[in-house]
Amino acid sequence: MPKLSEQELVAKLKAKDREGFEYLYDNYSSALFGILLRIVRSEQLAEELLQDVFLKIWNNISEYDTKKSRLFTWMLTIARNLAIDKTRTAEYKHLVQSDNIYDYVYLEERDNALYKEVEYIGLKDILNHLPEQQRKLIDLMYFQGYSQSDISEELNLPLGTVKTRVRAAMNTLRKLLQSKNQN
Amino acid sequence: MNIQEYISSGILELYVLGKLSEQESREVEALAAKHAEVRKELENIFITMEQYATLHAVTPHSQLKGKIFSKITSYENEHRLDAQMKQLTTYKYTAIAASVLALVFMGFTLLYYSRWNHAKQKVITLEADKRMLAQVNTIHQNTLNRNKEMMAMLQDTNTTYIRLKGKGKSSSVYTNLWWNKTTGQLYVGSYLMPEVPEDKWYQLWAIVDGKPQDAGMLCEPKQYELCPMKSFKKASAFAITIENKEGSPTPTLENLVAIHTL
Repeated sequence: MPKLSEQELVAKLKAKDREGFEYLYDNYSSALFGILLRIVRSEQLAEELLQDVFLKIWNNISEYDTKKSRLFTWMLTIARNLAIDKTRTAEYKHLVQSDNIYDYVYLEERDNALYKEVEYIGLKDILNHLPEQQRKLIDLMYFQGYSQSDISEELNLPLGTVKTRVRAAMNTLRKLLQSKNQN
Repeated sequence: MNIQEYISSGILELYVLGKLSEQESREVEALAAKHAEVRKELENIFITMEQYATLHAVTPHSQLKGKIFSKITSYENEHRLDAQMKQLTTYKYTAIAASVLALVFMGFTLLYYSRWNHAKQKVITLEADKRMLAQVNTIHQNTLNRNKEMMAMLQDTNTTYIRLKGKGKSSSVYTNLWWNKTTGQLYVGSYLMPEVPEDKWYQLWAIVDGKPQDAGMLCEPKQYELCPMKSFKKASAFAITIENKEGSPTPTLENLVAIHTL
């Protein structure tokens, strides 16, 4: 299928067009799967969740509002919410205890066979330039579902400061991504 | 509100990360709809996070695609079947409800039709009764009026009571007459007369200036009623003869049954 604009894709999806969904899968499944994997740190769980994510996209596409959000952001939110919900189940906590999940906190450990397909040179570059505290802040919020008050406790920051810290971290990230894209 | 301050507060970042309350989120959305700067900044943060997410991309197992699409297919089929069943059930219940309503409606219609018919019949009967009563009332009214006239006539000082007695072998018979000389009115009251053949009846005569004049046939006896006869301003005598039923212009003297001379 030729490259579709986001508008064209959304129209196809809203019409429950099968080809539109295949296009969506081909273009976004890696990003969504990567996010799921990053959050639940289990390939099996991430595969299960990816099925749930696509089924949910299929079912809820009529609710997607182009004015409020970009399609990819909307899908990422679905994936993140499903995965974070999963990490809060008893089943998942049991899995953590039995050590069946990958320790994914540090990038260095991602060199194992499972992630050989990942083209994470870019990620490595970026994260190497992102101050440790800012990276932690973004990851706790984005991948682990921490609330503002959770962050305030975890990082020992006053609640009022969390917002400005998040803004600063995101600005650094944005600049890093921009410079990477320019290269 | 200072938009630049709002943007640099970090609230938009928290919005994109999904960390705001529902109310705060709505506020952000409202401001984004209003201010292009807010929209642009939000877009930038969306893109930043999308790019950040993309950096983590991992290609899922190739078999997963087929699995997901067969899941969607079976889900769709189930869903379609479900929707059809639901629709069928809805139709079924709607049809049942409609039938029940129709039956109830028909029942009421029949019930009220029969009641209406009954009432209509009753009204017709009552109308007929009313008409009949009105007629009876008119009859009574007329009788009453007549009786009043009679009472007035009887009490008039100018009214004379005449008892017309039988002649010879008919001496026991009589006819009661009342005559008002002023008005000329003449009435026959109760009478006792000999039997006559089927084709004969009693004719009353007034003798005026020595000549008998027809005063009319006696009417069939009626209780408590006086029967008006022809009027005479003057008369010297009254007599009754037996004549043919239709009456005779002159009296048949041999059939004279009663006479009274004034």
